[in-house]
Amino acid sequence: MSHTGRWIGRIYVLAVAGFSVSPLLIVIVLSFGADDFVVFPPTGFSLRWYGALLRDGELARSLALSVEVAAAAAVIGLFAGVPAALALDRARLPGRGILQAIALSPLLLPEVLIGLALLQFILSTLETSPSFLTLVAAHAVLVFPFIVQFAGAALVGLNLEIEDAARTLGAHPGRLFAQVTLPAIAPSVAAGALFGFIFSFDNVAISLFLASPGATTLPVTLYERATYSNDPSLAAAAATLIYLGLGAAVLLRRFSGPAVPATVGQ
Amino acid sequence: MTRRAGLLLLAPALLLLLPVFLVPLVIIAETSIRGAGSLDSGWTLAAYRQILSSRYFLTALVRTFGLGLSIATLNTVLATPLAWWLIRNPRWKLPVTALVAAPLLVNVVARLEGWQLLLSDSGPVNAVLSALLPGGQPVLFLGSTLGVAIALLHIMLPYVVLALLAAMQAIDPTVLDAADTLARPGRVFWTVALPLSLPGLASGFLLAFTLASASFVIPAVIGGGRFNTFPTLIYQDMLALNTPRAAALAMCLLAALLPLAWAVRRTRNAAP
Amino acid sequence: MTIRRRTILSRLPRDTLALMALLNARPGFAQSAPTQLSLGTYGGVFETALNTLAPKLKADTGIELVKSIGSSQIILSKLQAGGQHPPFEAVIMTAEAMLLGEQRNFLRPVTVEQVPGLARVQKRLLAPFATKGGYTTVPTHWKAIGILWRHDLVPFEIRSWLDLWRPELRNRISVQNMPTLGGALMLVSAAIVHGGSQRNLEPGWQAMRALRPNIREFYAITSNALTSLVAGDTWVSVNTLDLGLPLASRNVVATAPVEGVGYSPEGIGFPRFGGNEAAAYRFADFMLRDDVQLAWAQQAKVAPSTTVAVPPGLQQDLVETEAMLSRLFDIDFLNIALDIQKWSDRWREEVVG
Repeated sequence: MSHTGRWIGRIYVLAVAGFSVSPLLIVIVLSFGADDFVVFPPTGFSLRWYGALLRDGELARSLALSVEVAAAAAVIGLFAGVPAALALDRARLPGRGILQAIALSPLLLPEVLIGLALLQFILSTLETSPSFLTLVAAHAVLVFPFIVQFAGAALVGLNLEIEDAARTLGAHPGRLFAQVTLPAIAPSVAAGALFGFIFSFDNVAISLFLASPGATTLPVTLYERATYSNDPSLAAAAATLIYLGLGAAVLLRRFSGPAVPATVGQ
Repeated sequence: MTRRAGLLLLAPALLLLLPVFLVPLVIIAETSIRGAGSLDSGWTLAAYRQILSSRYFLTALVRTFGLGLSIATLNTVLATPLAWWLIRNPRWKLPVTALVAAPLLVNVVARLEGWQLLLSDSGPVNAVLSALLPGGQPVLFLGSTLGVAIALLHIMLPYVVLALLAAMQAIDPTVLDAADTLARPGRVFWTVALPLSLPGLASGFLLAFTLASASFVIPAVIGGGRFNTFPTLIYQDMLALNTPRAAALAMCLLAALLPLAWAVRRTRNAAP
Repeated sequence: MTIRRRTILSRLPRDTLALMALLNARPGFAQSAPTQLSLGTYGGVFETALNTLAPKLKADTGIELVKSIGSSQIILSKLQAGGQHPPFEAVIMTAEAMLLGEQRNFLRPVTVEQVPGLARVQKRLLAPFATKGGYTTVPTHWKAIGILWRHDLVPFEIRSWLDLWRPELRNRISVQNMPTLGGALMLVSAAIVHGGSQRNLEPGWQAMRALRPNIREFYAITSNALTSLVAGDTWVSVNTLDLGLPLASRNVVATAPVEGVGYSPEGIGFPRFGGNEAAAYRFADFMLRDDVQLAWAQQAKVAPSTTVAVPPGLQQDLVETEAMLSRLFDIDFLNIALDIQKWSDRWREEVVG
């Protein structure tokens, strides 16, 4: 690639990354604000909102709940989604296209209505209370499409010759899947699971309706607080999550060794 | 794979979807044909009649669709060069991906607070713009379609970038090596990489389209109340306790979006 | 009447200590195991305030609250979804939500026999909730809705609702969007100051159409309106007056206009099929105690609903006064509850555009 071409590439990537990060930078700046309310730029620098965060037991509890729910939902989503993606890709099922569209449909229905309808089902029909289990199940339904999508895309793009070769060498289906197919689609599935986790973690609408009494998830707590006050405590909470996430990314880099073997460069 | 094996593999998914998705779907469908007021009123198509005969609602549906399509398209156009660059420069894959995905970590209200201040009349963006083009009025981002588009573009980007990355990463490196020896880098992209990553591209596009069309917080907050999509109207109806019409709107939205999802899916399956 | 205040926080420590001392002076209520009461309530400052009162509540009544957080309309939707098995035993909601709930048979009325504290509630605040068999709600607090504005940006003094229509405010006002109580009160207030009333809303609709060019933002989330105001994108916000007091350092003024103010009386309601009645009524009565009313007012930044005397320290931080009760607009909350769907549709087409 030409010299200018390379620079255009770099500037472009920088611009896009900058675009992604810009509102987050604002949130981080706000979290260090000294005022009682949100104003940009802040008139002073202070750590008081982080201090308030540390003293906030309610927030810590809702964070723990969110992580638990998202993790459980991701696991269930994987167990339901990966086999489903396989079936939709490989099996001779009638109406495959329609089934695939249906697999996506939990994301097409407004979450507030899904949440409300499920609540009605639980309270009026099942005559029981919303619980951790029902919350996880509802979140899993939202995670499921992500996994199916990502796994499905990976399966479509697979080089089937490798599988054929393995099959002719005598590998039977279970082994074939575990040692050939699964590793090949693993990165995509992991990406789908990660998205599903984040989607569940961020979810307000479903959690608003299905959280059991006394237990709220983090985004609901933050949302409710935001509706009543515009102080920077929300910014501090959000900024903390950014630090945690980026910290996780740094750790990942450190522990995953060198990047995927580079393809031939310029 | 035999049909029986296929159905067996679908079993866990059905076990999950049946009670947790199909049941609410039926409840929503049933609510949509109830009369507003109490749960005991008889069945009626009044809500549907109201929606389908209203110019306002039909415009809102078109607006919702338009938003979804344009956001998905813009995102795909933006994301593709980025993903390709990252494949070619793997050293930067993790850091850049982390930065692009960072918005997902932030609570939606906080993110919108960030945008509100970034795009405000006295905010940094307008400051830069007035420095570059002096003498103009500050651009009104908030309360306009532009603001909504920016905020949605921003949060959909990670989905599309990651979907594309996953797809491009799956391309056999030897194929790319071979192509590199035969053609200029540009051609490698257009004739080899892009076609091979089409499934991932279509996935990302579909996801972005779906999520953008279903989004109700961003249009409601950044749009200043003026940008009404179907999801925001559904939420407003729910707040006014007009659940039958909210349900009917949702069913109409589903009916409109499903065919599109099916169509894009077909593109996705027709991989080279 | 224009009010300019110093920030709340400078007064907080002294008054909090005084109130805590007052609360601790009461004898404790010994109980072997706490009774749990499932409460649906809104979050934010209300949740924090309830948390602060929790030890006192437990000590004096033996009740422990299990809270579910959500706005009034969300709580109402949940009551509807629950049918004969509501997910709460008590709810805290705004007036129109309460009245809609009662009208749809989700709530049961309560009498002075069951909650003796009702006798001490201001008559003006109890009136909207009178119904067959008692009262729909035990009012615990109220808020005044008026005009928040930037003293440094608006080129004149805002004293009247009619000032909103002045051309200098073009594209500078934020108003709460429908279907909320805030939006409804805006419509009704517009009608009242243009020669109409809640029963004759046409002047209000006309006025709101005329106001369109001045409205920059129809806010859904209150904090967005405040951020806009502080940033200077909007100069005026029709909002809960108490929310403007902490913003005084940014030249925000909270004005109760001369014609009168809208208001939002809020309190505790009881789901028709909810259980645990004794505990629910005990909780309600607790909330009406003088010391609790004052602590609640201070923590949640709302005005008390009973006739309790508000000490000057606390009054400094509240816009609402007892005198203001006589200047409240005549609002029919049930009518709002019943018609808000229709108004919302019309509002979307004629006012928002």
